Amino acid sequence: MRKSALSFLALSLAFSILPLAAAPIRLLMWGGVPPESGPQLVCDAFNKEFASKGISIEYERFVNDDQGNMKLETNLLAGGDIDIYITYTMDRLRKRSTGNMALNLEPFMKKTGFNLDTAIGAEGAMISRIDGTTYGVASKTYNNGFWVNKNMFDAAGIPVPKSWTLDEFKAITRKLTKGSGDSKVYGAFLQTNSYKTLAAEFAGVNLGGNAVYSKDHKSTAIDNPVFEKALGTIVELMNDGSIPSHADSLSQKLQGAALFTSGKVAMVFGSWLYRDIKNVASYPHDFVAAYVPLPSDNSKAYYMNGGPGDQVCINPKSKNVEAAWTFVKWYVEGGIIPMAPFGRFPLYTKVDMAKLEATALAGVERYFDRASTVNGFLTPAKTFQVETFADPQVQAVLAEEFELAMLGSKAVKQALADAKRRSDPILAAKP
Amino acid sequence: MEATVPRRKSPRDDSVAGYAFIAPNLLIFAAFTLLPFVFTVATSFTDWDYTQGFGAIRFNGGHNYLEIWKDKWFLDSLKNTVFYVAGTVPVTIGIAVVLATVIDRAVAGKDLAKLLLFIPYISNIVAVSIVWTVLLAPSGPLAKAALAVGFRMPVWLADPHWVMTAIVAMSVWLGVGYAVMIYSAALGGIPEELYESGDIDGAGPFQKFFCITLPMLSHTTFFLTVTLIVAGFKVFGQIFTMTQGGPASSSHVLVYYIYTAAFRFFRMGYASTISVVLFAFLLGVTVLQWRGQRKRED
Amino acid sequence: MGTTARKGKAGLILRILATTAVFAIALTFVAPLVWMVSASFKLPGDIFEFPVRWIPKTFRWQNYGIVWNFLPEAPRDYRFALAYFNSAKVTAINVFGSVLTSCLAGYAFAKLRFKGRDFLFLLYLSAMMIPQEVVLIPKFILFDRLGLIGTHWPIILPYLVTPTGTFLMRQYFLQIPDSLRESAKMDGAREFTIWRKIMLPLAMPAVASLGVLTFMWNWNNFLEPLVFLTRSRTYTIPVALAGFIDENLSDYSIIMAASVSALLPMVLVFLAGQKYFIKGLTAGAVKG
Repeated sequence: MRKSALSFLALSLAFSILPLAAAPIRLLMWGGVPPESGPQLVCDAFNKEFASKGISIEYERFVNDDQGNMKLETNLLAGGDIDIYITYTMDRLRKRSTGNMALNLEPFMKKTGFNLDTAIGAEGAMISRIDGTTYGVASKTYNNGFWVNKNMFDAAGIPVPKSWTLDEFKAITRKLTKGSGDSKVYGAFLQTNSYKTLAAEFAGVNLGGNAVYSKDHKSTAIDNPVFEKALGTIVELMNDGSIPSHADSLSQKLQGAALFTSGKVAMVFGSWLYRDIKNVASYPHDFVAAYVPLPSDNSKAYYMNGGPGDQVCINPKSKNVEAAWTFVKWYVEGGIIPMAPFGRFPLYTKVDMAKLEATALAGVERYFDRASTVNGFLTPAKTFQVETFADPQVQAVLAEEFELAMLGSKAVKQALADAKRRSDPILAAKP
Repeated sequence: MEATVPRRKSPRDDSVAGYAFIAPNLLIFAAFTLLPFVFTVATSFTDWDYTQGFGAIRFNGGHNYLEIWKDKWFLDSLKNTVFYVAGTVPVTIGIAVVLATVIDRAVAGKDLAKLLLFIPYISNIVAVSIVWTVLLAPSGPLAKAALAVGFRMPVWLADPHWVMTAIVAMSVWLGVGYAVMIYSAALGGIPEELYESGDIDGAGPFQKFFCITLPMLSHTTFFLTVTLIVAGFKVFGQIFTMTQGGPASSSHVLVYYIYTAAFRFFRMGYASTISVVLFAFLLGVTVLQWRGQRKRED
Repeated sequence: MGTTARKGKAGLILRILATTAVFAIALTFVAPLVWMVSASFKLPGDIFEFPVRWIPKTFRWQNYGIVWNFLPEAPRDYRFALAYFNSAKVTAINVFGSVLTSCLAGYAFAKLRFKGRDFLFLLYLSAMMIPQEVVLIPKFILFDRLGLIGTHWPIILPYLVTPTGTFLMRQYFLQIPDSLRESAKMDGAREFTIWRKIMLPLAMPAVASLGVLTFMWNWNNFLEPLVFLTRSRTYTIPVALAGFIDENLSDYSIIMAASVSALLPMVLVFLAGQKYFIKGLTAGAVKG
């Protein structure tokens, strides 16, 4: 034990002192997924394939939250250390494109004959461009929603719905709640400790992208009754103990994957938990999980939460932009496949979906309900809730006011009114 | 060994050596503290979205200084910082002076006791914060112990009304050892005869504490008050690790807001304004300290 | 110092009571840290046992193996060894640098006469009021412009000087009689030689005090590394620990193992240099 520590120390010392060898290009990529959940496999594959061309890539993980994104942006503003990185939301892509943190990719696309629309489809192209210029190529697609414990649904005699309204969601959550004390099973867990503005996502499923903001982005639109309904539903369920209270989520740092796989909750928000549910070694369980999208009261249109994403960007300050583009193109056109078993599916239109589905569920078929997983989770939805605008201060205000409502410190109506009162001047003051 | 350089100057003038000796110190200090300070003051009068680069600096007069008084985050930060200072300083000092006095009278193990009390102070703030986060959780040992005696504790860190109290309690725990250490050193300087004459006058332990110990320690108490107030205004680590300023903005403090305004909202000008306000408070404390000291010396 | 102590039986009983009380309180104070050490050896499921089992049922050494990436079950390398190395490197440079600059300037302010000395010293005194928190933003911008964000320079350069240390050293040098310097001067020694061969050896106790103090300040520094160290390979221990907690939110046993690892070196340095440490901390208080 001690020896390996010493040699590690010596090695790291050597690395920090020795300058890197001159000739071959070594790219650095930052992403929010832990390296062991796919990125390492991607890098290994790339390094093998491109060894002869003298390009290799290294992956570094940042935590995809406010703090982590700030770190990424600080690095991008500071210099050319990072060559490639992934942007996870449109508002951040916009900020990065206008803030000289993302390179205009059009010239490279032209030079290498990469047609965005045919490669990743119209929805994907839409979130890759800012005001008509490509700044990050969307690479993956996924449908957000709930994983539900099908065995519990069966036991309660409830069929797993393909779609549902907020009220249906509320009723089912209540029905699935049972027991008390240590044996209590909650109807659902909504991860409100990390997703404080979850109510806004629910609203977006009804209203489409940018639901929080007015068309001109000069004020908020959270006076739309959908927000009150969504936040109100969450608060009601917390109050009657059908879902863990926000205080419990916060103070116990409750984790969706652990609660769901241990049978403490019947449903869990966040279909990205797929990669944990699959990991039966770390999260042992023996029930079947089924997929259900987020509830919506809009019977005319459904805007899927999630959708195409993971825009791959190049740092304008990178010294290896050509090599970086080589990687981006390779990644989007199928290099991403090793990520599929971890829940990130290629957006590339020419990828063989059937083969992918087989890969995604290989060895874990018995833990997933095939019909809902394949048709609901794996098959890309048609319309998405595409967020193209967000203001960090307004997001912070929403998180705080929604949080107060969820803690019961404020009535839902009051919280929404206060959120609007606080946010509108912030937006109005922006140039 | 050394060749003497014949000097013309008066033997009392050591200019060359003097400047050479202070040069490294002064240069680094000027480059990384003094000049940045001037820069903070200058940027506090601007509106500057850092993501837009240097071209985006806009002088906006004293607008930021007006805006802060309408900004809930700033007002909450200020209120919570003052609450923190008003909570930690008297409680830490109160506990420490009693403890130090009692330790001084203890039969054995004085040094060991002081050492045990002191360890939290030298500990990594992130490590102790996470320990307290777990201790204060509803499933943690404190809540369970309270429940065992039939008392339901608040959910400290998730309750807007209690979160600052929890942070204060944790910070008192951090600081008491330091204050005890300082007091113990000062107690050693109180002449034993004072207590003996107290004995002769028939004073009890409490009388002696209030009439001899406390007055003799007033200088140290003053020093500690100033030091702890200054430290209190700079509180950050606990807040960052335990609550991230939450729930909502109920545990925002000034340094945490400087941090978020600058590195989450990238509002460099506005964040500088808050920095200047923080400095103004510290300046006020220092001026009071100087005045107090002068009074003492008179 | 209470050497002669209270006479009589009542006094003795009082003092025994005081001793018991003091130890009860002192133990309560370290209890959270003892709990941390104990939890770091427990199974994740045993952490919230109540009543608290101070000595774990089963010792799970693996927690440390996971944190330090020694064992195959470690999900990945959290680079804790690297963080230790970074902390040690930065702390060593800063302790050496700041002690050196403090000794040089403190000596000049105490013993040398030159124009502007008193003004400069006053400047120092007032600068002690400018906390690093207040200059965080301009320093960030400065280091950003210099392309040094993400390297260790932003947490080294400013910390090569401490006004408090300079002040401390000046106070100490003032106590050393001038005659020592004058007789050396008479023998024709150069100023630097006097400082190096005569004054510095005499100031060693103060150097040691300042050394352990700056060790603590640098080892535990959090805000600036958090802002300036944007690359995980440059993380110092507090930042690495914060990141580790972020990633392992619910696995408290390994978080506690990481926390124990983080504060052990500081405790050891403190135990070794206790005497100097306390002298350094009380110097300001006693002098005022």
